[in-house]
Amino acid sequence: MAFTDSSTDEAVSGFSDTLEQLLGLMGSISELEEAKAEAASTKQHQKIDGLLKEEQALILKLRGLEQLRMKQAGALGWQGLTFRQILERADGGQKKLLSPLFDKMNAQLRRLTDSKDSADRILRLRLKELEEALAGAPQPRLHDSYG
Amino acid sequence: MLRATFAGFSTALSALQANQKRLDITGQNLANMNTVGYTRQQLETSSLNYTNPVSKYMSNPTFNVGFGTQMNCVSQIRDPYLDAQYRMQMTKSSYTDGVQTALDSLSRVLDESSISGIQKAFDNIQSVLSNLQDSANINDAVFESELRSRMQALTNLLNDSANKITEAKQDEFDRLKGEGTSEQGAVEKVNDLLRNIGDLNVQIKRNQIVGQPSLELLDERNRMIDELSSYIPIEVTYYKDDDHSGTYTAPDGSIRDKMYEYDQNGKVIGKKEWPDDLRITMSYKDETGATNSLILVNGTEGGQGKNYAEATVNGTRENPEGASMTFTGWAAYNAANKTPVTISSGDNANPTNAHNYLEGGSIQSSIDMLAATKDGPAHKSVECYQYYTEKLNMLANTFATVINTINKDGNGGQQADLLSSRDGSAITAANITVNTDWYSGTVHFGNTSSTKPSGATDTALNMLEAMKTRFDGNRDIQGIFANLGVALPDLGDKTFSDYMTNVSTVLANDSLANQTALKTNVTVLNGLQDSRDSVSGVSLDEEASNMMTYLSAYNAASRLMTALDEALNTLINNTGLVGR
Repeated sequence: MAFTDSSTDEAVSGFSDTLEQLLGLMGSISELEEAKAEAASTKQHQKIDGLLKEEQALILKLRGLEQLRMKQAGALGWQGLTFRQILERADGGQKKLLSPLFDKMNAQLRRLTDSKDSADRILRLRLKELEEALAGAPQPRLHDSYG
Repeated sequence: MLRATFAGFSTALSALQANQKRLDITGQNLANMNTVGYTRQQLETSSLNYTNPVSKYMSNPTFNVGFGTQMNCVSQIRDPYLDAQYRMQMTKSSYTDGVQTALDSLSRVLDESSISGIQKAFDNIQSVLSNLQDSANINDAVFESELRSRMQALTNLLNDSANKITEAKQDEFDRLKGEGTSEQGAVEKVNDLLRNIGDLNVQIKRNQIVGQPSLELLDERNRMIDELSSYIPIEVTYYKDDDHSGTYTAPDGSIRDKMYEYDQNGKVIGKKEWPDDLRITMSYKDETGATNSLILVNGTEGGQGKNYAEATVNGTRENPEGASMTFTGWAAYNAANKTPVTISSGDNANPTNAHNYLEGGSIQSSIDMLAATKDGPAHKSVECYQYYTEKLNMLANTFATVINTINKDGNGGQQADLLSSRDGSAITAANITVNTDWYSGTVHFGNTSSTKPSGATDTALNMLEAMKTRFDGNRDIQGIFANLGVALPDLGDKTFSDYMTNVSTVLANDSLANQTALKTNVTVLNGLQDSRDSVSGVSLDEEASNMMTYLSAYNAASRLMTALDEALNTLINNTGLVGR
């Protein structure tokens, strides 16, 4: 699909809007991961279920936005390119618009990975503790052999 | 088959001894419940019995009853999984903590929300320029003097901020190297830890070979490994040394396992009792982006003084930007594998400049914050010191260029710099100052002359316009820059004041995000520590309960001995007495 100058500007603007939305969403997911890590660390397990449900909804939204971003990138001829490769191909105005967004995206991605890593670590430990507790607990008997 | 007459007494005696030992260990645990790094101890026992073969020709088979309990060893209660998780989280927390220390020192300089700083100084200059618009004030020396004072205040603030950032960089470098300071730098601490762990490896193994478990030394070593994990990402593994692992070819040509003892016919007759060695490796991302590792402590191999690595810092306190650290693998390593690994920050602006870096730890946080360029490392989570240095330099240089260019125009195209650098080099935040010629009266703010009758008024108006202009590399002030052939200023579409606000906001955002990450990391670390304590730490309730259990067992063993004595008395004195 060939773009005229104005439609290219519109497409880039739409692409940057999607990135802004992705940034906001990633921020929300990071906050949930942090809340999850804190709840698991302080053994407030009752909170985790609600957080997981909330997170699932956000992840579905994230998938939708990611598909939209890929579609918009494809239309601009940036299909499968990294941020750096996109910046190499973008003109001056596009670079000015996208460069700070990509920087923020990198930082947000690091925050998300970091918080997810912490949450995963403590949740894995709690699951291990649960398994050990179950293994040590007396098992319920299905049949009373003594009648 | 007859039972030995006194067999039961040795059973009771072994029970008494084992429970006495358990009570002693409980006492030791309780005594050390507040000792840093102490690991709960327990007695490991096993049932004593003979393993006589049962023969089908035996006419009167009997049941073998054991002969009591055997004390095997006193061991520590530790969970290696928890240790590994704790250390990984420690590495992570230390990185964010190190970054936060750096951001806090930058905030003391650049946080414009809490201190009246550079942004306020720009506002003051704008305010004086507004007063200068008034034709009654324009030729008044008092107003020019006030403008000079305000400019001086701004340049002082810029100098002060630049110097404080330089000091913060030097402090960061001191945290790495520590040379010439009262506190040890990270490199000295890491080297001390590696040497001590290496020495403990030798000492512990020597003791364990002769049957001494050296539990206190193990505690000391574990405490040091925990501390090491705050500096660099490490992995700890236990292994058997070369003489006790792998296989060898026996004289008869058969392949045998080194961990077993064999009889003359080549049959396994037992397992060799040999203590494990401890290896510490540092994991890092190498130049290709793959995860790699370097052995820092290699068990006891090479012997005392040769089984550990060494680290050195590259860079100087005077030029701390781009500081890096080189790790040279354990001393007894063979030459081919002894290639040192240099950990650095790399360069985000130049991704082809591949580099090794650590994924966490306070050393990497210092190295990242001291990155040589404003773009910092590609793996950065926050902006580095150099980012703020270059931002301030850009602000100082652009401001001086704009003011001097407008004043040149106001002076009929004659060079009349109001701002200059102290040392004659390019203007930076560190060297910007009010031109001494302005103080001496050689240079004036604008100049009403025959060639430029409205020079001073125009200069005031143009400077005021410049203070409000968002410079983006395309905007000129009344065509002055184009006329004088000066490149159009570019502050990323921001005014001077907004530019400073933006720098301050970047710092505030980075600090907030990092604080949140630090809080999460520390909460998770505390959660892991609690879990570790519940396994390895001394619990008063548990020890009190154990004490009662062991005391009851001790009493029962004592009662068993009395009962056996009574039985023996019956056997000796009251058996077969009828008719006597």
